Amino acid sequence: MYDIRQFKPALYILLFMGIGGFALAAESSGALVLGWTALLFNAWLVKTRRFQPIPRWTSNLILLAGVPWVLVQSRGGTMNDEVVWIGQYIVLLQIVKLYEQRGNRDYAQLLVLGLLLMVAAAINTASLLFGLLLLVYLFLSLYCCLLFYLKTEADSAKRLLALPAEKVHSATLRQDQRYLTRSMRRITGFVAAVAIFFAVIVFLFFPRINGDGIFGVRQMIAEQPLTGFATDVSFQQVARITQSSAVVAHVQVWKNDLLVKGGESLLLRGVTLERYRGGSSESVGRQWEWEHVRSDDDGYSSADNRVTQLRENPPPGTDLWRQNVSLLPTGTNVLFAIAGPVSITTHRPTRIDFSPATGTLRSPAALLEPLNYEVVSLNNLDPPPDAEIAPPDLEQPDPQILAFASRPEVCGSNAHGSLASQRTSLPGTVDPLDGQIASNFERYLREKFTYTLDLTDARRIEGRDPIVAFLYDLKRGHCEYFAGAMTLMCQSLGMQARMVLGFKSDEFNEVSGQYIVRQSDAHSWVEVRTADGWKSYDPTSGTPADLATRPKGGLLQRIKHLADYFESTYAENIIAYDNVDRQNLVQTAESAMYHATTTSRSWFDQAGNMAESVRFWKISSTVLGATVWLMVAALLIAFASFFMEKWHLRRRAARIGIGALPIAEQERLARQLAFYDHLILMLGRHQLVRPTCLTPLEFVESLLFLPSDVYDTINRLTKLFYRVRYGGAELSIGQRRRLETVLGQLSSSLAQTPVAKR
Amino acid sequence: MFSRSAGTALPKNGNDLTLVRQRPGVDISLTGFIYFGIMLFMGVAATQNRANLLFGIFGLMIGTLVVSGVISRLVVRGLNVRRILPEHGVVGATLHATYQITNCKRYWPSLSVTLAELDGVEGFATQPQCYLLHAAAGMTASVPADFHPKRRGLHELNRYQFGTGFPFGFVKRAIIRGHPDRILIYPALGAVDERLLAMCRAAELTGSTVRPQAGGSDEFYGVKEFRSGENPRLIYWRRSARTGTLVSREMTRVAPPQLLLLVDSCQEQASLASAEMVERTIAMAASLASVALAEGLSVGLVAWSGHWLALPPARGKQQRTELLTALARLPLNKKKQLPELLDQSPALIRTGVTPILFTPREVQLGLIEEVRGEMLVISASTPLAGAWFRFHENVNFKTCMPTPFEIAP
Repeated sequence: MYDIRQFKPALYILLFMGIGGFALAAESSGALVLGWTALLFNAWLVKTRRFQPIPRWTSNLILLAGVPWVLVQSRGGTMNDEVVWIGQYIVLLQIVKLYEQRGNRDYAQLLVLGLLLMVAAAINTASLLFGLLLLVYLFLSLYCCLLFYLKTEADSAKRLLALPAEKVHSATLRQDQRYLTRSMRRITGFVAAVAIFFAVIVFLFFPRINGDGIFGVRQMIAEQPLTGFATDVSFQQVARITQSSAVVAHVQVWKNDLLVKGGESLLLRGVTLERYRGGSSESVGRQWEWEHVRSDDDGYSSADNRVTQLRENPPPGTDLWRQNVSLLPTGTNVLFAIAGPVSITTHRPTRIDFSPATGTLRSPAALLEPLNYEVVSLNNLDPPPDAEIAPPDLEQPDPQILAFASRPEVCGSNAHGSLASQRTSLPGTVDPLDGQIASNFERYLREKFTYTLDLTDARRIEGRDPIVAFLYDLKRGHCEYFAGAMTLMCQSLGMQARMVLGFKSDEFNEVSGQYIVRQSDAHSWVEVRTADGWKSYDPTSGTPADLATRPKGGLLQRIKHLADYFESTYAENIIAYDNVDRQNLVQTAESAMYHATTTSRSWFDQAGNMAESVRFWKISSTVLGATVWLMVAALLIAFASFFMEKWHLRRRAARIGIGALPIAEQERLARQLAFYDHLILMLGRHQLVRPTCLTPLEFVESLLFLPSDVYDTINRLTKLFYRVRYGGAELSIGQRRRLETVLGQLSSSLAQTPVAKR
Repeated sequence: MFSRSAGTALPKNGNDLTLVRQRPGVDISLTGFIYFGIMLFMGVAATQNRANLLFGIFGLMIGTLVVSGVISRLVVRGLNVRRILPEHGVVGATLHATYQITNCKRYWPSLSVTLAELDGVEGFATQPQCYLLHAAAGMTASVPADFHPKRRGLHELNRYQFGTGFPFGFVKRAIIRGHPDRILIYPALGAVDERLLAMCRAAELTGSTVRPQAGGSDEFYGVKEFRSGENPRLIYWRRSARTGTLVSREMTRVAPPQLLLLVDSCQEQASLASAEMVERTIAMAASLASVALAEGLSVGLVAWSGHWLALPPARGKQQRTELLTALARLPLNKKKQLPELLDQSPALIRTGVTPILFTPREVQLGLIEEVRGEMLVISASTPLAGAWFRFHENVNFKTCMPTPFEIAP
């Protein structure tokens, strides 16, 4: 019986992939190292025949000991943590089972545990790499299961039939194994094709629930604030910010319906922060924090729609910036867009909180799953005329900030002195010098201050206003310090200014035509109200001034962009596929079918109208006549070939010597013995003619003078002739074709050999 | 799933009937139910969790279940079977047969198929079956199978069942096909004690068993014309010179003894014990016939086979085949008793023929039987019979009869 030798290697590869996939999904390097080491060691033991299964009581003890440990570790954690711990326990189960393997039952358990492990991993991650790994894993597990089934059946058959191996003929074994690999490939391919078909159908059309479900949504977890965007800015924590390159969003931008292909930075506004809580007694517990000031009559919530009009459409000719944003969860409820949003269209009906004065958008709750939306913006910071509100009440900035801002070298000066002293407008109102002062602030901070993310040695400023310390002592900091300082300097002079938090992205993916927005692109800048309206200022030093002069990325960059394109496509179309997508697909399918039905109906109607026209009858009668003549000709040709075939068969029967048989038998044998007829004709061409007094066998014996290989072939063909003619053997079409091949080879052998008659 | 052979009433020993396992056409295994449960769990997990990969896995599992039903049906179809059986079998001895299974499908292979006989199973201790691991499309696979005959006689095999659970064992399919075949099972052939053989070979009481025949090399018998190819040493040169023609001597050979087996197969009581004795009797007769013929003796047979069967003593393989076939096909005999059997024998008993009576009971020959001539009587019920004939432990004479035994109420 065949020993299914491929099963164990396939099983070990499967276990490798399972543990690797889970470790990738759960980001658990410990499970990976432990699992793979144990697996490799076990494989080595089995290969070197040193393996001894551990006693059952030992394995049971280990597994039982693991249960309370898992329960303790997962207690108090989130649902996500529980799944991770369960997955790690399954890894432990697999390792124990591997060292306990005795028979087919253990292998079956290993297969099932591996599948459960991948399911646990699939719940935990949305990575494209894991998705590809899962696909390969499923194919391999399919192949493994087929082999396992063959193994179990062969083993049970061996036991039932009790046939010793030495009693089985070796030819029988060879025959059983022949083409087995090809057969397994066919079966695996067919099963895989059908399974994939059903997987796609279920994935596309199976209904999803609208709520969170039992397990909730855990595939998209918001990042920690210190690595990127956060809705509040607090200088209380002095630490080193770790920049994360995790992708936050993919944004495709059109300007007046022309795709923007990089070349300029993309500024996405998130939240605006107007008030800074300094060190005054009112701000105890919330010192040195920026906050958004919102008045009661600013902002509204839209209805639960897909399309929300935020302001009146601008007059024709106005530049419109359309952004298609695929936003991954940030852990906040902020929606990002270019300044001056006009309308927003979401993927699913969503309520939008909009502030016309600041132009910021929010969703009602924090985003825990991806959101696709499209915003049309003016790229203009000025609010609609009816959305103007009074400037908010702000705390009086630290006098040191005012002093700093008033310096001529900071705010700028002219023949009349520093610009700060020349500002005469009331606080909170616009002065003609505001724009110039703001520009000077921006330039000064850029030139004189240094950008850094590491402020761990700034603990010496504790107890002091961080902005003051930044301006006077540190002279370095990150973008929030720069933006905060400039905003406070403007506010100290009575200008209307606010800090804006959002993203600034320069990375354009040429493959997908999208901007890639990462956590590390989180940025702060300043918006100041000038005589020409609200303007943006970016005082952070070290930011590239000219994107066009930056060298373009090489091959590695392109590969990264391609990978990012696949990742984003995977996340949008697979991971984020939800009920809305399903309904859209169903509606699209229905409308396509309806369209097809209507189109075909119209075709039939047109055909009907055409049939009623006289011209149609003229054409159709001509066509019909031609068709009839063609059919008659085809019929005549068919009859002729039929009779020709019969005649050929009769002639062949006469040549072979079966002319005396009934006609039906003649024709049957003439077809079957066509090879012998060709043989006789071929020999005749080489002047080897069979005398009528000799039987075919006697004729062959008279050809002993021919080369041995030729003689053997003719001999075998003659014996085959006898088997068919007298033995009732039947040749299939394939066999007849093979015989023709043999005859062809024989012909070339005869042609090369000079035939000398005895 | 399991059934008794058709048309029988249970004997006292109900285990004597061979269990025939006939699978249902479609069956879902325990593995299939477990898989179905796991699939449902996956569906619930996917629906509750909204992880789209789980929907994919759920769909894969559905597809796998559907395709396993399709493939299992494909696998058992398009298979032709040809049984390659030996000429005959022997009760208690393993019979090696081969199934040639041809996969007539153009594209699909057949894997993991079990073939089990449904008809004629009662002739064997276990249901004959074989396991085909793989037959590629258009190929023929030869699968060996062992049969364990338990009943003598002519057994007809016809229907057989293909079954498979391939590819995953979730859904099991079976179809029934038929192809008539026959196999003859000889009675059990045991080892015969050498003393009995010697007794059979011993000189007859009524005369010498040495009958000179030509063709031997013992004593001078006569002369005959020399033919080319004969032993030139036998040329009688003197006579040849005198006659001018080559002549050779003919020598004598000892004619071997001739045995005539009289088999009393009459079953006076309708009981299992009685039937067992009859079968033992037949098996003893067959064993002696086989061994004697192998030693070159001439053996004949007289028995009731629906009519009185009388085979004159002869030698050779053909005679062996005829004798054993006749013994294998002896029907149940409740009418023709010993005296009638003895009445059939005189025509065949002549000088040099040793009659041997095989009977299931202890008999005493009467005066008339004595007058007819001495004969050897071997009774199956005597302990001596057990010493003279040794059968394999697999042989169970309670189940050797050609048809299942019916006990009278």
